Amino acid sequence: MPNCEDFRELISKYFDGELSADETAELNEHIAGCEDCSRFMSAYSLFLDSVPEDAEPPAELLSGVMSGVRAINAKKKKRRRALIIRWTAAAASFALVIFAGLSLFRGGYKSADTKSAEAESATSSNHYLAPTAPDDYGADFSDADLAEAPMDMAPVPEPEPAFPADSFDGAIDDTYKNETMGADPGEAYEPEAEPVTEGETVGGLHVTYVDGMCAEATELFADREWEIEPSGDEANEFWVLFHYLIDWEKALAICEELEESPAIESAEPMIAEY
Amino acid sequence: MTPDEEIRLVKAAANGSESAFEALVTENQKLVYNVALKLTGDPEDALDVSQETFLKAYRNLSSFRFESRFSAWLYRLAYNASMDLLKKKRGTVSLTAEDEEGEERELTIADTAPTPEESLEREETRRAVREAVARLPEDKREIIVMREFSGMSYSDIADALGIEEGTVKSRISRARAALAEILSEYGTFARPSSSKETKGGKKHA
Repeated sequence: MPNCEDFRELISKYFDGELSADETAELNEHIAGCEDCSRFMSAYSLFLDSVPEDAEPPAELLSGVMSGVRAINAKKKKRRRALIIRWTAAAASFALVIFAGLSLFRGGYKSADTKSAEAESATSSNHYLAPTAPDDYGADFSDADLAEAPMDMAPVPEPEPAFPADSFDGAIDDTYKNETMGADPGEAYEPEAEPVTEGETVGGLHVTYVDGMCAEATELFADREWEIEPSGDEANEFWVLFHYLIDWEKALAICEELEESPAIESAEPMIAEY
Repeated sequence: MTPDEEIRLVKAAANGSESAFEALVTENQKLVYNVALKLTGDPEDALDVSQETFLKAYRNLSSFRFESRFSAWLYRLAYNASMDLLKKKRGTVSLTAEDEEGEERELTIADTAPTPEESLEREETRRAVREAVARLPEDKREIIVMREFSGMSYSDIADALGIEEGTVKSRISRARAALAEILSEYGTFARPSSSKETKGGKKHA
């Protein structure tokens, strides 16, 4: 004896447009004699016909959301964020021609003189970092600026304007290798009103820019050849840090540019907060 | 948008990329807007709900766990926000309805006024559609809305609800039967259907 419960499945299949020819015949036969199922189907058909078609959302939806997004971002407390570009080199060569708009600094090593300084300072290590570019830094960029160390840090030794490979003692400080990127946002570092200056270690990252001068620095150091030391976990991994550059789009664009170079295998942006 | 593209955009947006989030809004706005519109019946309410949904998602991006698709999460937010709005609207009507197990449930549905532009009859029918669906118990309502309002496929529904496709099918057939029961109380759905014979059935995309 057919039970209307049995036909519930078939009816549902009908509304999904999945009835086979046989099933269609079976259902037709049933509803010819069954008031309840017949009513079910006609009511449900009318219901479906009454559901409005999809409408296009108004333009204000997107524009309203995006203004809301910008308002949210504007309200967020100014947190210090560093954008790092991490890239792997395709070859063992450390020489790299820099594209315009990019500032790259040597990083990840420690000169002999600063090792004693580190013994004194429990909180962070000082690394003197300098470009291998020829003597002319340009008027805004005196040696004194580069040597400047923040108050709480152990003193940085006398800087050298050029850093040819043969004066380097070969010892690479690899304590940074034990720190994971961004995981420990520099608890040794206390955020101050003044931006960090070059030579500080923040959360395991070697600060390799000159503060407040990122924009100018990119112009100064563009189109020059640089000798880059590894600063990541791998021997062919390099890090470049852009202070205050919290523009993700810009970082992605720079990575894409970098990846076009045959010397570079992959480039990836990362963010560290401190 | 592929799931991988979606994941990439969500991560970029969580990292501060406004344009990534804009891409996510553009991709999902039709889905979000229409579930809000079909539940509330009002374009202004639908716009408010939609904007609220996206901004809520934006504020909570970092807590999105990627266990389901981002679009499914947005859908859920929009659905809930629409239902919340319906409950808040003034002129609510209290009803007692019986569900499948014969349990009596108290339901509150919004008494929405018809818009002057549409013909009275058509607006009445649409109102009846919204009311009938609102009267369903939550688990049945949710699946009916996904299937009949938003046109989601069985596999998308299965993915969004975290259940098997077979389960989706049986739940839908029960939900349709329950809805038909409710619809039979409305005069507007008791009219004989224009097509008496079943052909292939209504096709879903």
